[in-house]
Amino acid sequence: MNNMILGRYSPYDSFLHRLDPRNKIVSMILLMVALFFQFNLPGTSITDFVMTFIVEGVILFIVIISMIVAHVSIKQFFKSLKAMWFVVLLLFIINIFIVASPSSADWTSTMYYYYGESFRIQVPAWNWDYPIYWASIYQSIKIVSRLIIMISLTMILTSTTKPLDLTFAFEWFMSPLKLIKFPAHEIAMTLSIALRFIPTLLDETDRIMKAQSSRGVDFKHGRVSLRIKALVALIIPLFISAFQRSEELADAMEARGYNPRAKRTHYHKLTWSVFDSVIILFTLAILAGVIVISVMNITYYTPTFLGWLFIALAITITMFILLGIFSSTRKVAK
Amino acid sequence: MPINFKDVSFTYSYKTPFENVALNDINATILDKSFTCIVGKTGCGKSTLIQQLNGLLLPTKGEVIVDEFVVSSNRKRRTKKLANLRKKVGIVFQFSENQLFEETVLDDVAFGPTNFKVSKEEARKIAKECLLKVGIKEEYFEKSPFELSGGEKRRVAIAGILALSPSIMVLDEPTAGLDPEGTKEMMELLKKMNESGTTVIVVTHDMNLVLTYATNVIVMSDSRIVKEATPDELFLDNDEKYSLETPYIAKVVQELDKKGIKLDTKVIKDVKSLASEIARKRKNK
Ligand SMILES: Nc1ncnc2c1ncn2[C@@H]1O[C@H](COP(=O)(O)OP(=O)(O)OP(=O)(O)O)[C@@H](O)[C@H]1O
Ligand SMILES: [Mg+2]
Repeated sequence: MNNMILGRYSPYDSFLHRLDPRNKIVSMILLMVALFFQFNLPGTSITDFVMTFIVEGVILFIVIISMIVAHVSIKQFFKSLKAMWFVVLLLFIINIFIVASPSSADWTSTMYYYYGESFRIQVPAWNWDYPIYWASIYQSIKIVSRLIIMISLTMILTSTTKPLDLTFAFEWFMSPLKLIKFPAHEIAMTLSIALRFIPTLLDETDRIMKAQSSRGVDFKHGRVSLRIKALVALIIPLFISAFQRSEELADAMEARGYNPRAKRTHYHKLTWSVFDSVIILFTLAILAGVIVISVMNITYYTPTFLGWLFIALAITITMFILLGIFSSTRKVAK
Repeated sequence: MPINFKDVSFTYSYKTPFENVALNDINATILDKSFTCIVGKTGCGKSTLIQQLNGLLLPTKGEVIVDEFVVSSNRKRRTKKLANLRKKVGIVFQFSENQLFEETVLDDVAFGPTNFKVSKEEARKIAKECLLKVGIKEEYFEKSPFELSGGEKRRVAIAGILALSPSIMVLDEPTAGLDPEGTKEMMELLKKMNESGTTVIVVTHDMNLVLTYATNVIVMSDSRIVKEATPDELFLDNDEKYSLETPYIAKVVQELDKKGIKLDTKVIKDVKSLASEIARKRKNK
């Protein structure tokens, strides 16, 4: 159960924890957009590649500083990433074989033009001969590294924001939709209940696994058929208890007079502070910078680019140091 | 062979921000063939303690020794195949009725033995015996376990553990939510198992049951063991009560004591033994 730690709220009190959840969501999305920007510079795909990595580098830098500030253990993060090595590997393989296969080479024709075919995988016995392009390898590295940074961004969001605050923020974002009778509150309620029950379900899983282990089930070793049986012994009780719980909860809510249409107020009010304005301006600036770079075809060998990069990094560092001074981090009781 | 806890500590989510100490330096012995009750306030670590017994949880410090088995987080010390320990120590969990999953009651009970390389036929035979032992009638055998009542489900779950023929049987609050009749039947069943040579360990909040059935009591408080005693020492002689509720029999004995009637507390277990002790006292006078 230990690698479930990925993205779990960690009870500290850092300035990232104190930021407005609405701000954190928007900032995260802005950074993700910046992260996924394409630099379609004609005939210069190496430039695209390098620029992508420079942008990724800046965002990664912000991510790492945020992790340190928010007490998200970087070691723990990489440990939990291990759980998704399979996804990463799959993406990598798919990209290598599909992104720049000869037919899609037209699509990335500039890349193809510049790198050409690089090496071939040959298996004479199967009469198999498959070309691998450097361009496709670049593409895969790009996608995988973006994915990892994206995950770490969401992880910072979820480990510094209580799930309930997140749903409040979602409800706030959806509130204009209430005008067209969109069930914003119901969706937010469903979401917060679902979030609330994740730990309960994990505990339940743990309990059932223990109970079945006591009956000699081995979840980790053994033949495939036995392991499928073990999974059945876990999933059926889990589903039954989940359904029971949801029914009980619905009954209990109704018994206490819950009415989804009622007008309600919140115990916790979302509050926007000066820090929030600073952070959102900062992320906007980063996105703007990336857009400018992309639109104006600025590249790393454009004079003054390195100067701007340096200034961006300097601002980032100073900002985090200042914010760090303004708000010490300490552990809080759960 | 008794069960030995040696300096056992256990922390949930060890080395994460969610650390939660549940056991703190536990040293205890549970005697062979005893009927031991573990009592204490809710959240004091009883369930955590019993899960150390078959290695479902490994102590973060110290070790538990059950016969030739060593449960420890130290790989070198730990017994390699904990599966065999699971056959020896059967644990019935709190709300064990939630672990049933097979299509019929009989198959569910037979599921355990088949995990230990018992043939299907043999397993079903064992399952039948165990179901009868816990008082589930034959007409229920082919029913779906989900059609049963809560109390019946729990019996089926107990039969599921019984089918492994463990020499140590551990039950976490087996009587919670049962009616008085069901409670009595459950405890009589455990008593019978104990008399036939099984070590029985029961976690319970019902002190009346402790006085009537237990041969030994372990009192826990705040992740530590604060007292190991026999029930009469705990309830009848001792003034400290470790904030445990006093069984009604013990209250009667205490009141009689105040009135100057001294009884031999060792033999008093229930109403019957209390009455015969009073009768004996009167005869002697
Ligand atoms: N899976 C878990 N993860 C983290 N902490 C846990 C877990 N299970 C129990 N705890 C904590 O460990 C402590 C001891 O719990 P335990 O379940 O052993 O208590 P208990 O004595 O069995 O209580 P009860 O009488 O209510 O069953 C409690 O503080 C509890 O919050
Ligand atoms: Mg418990």
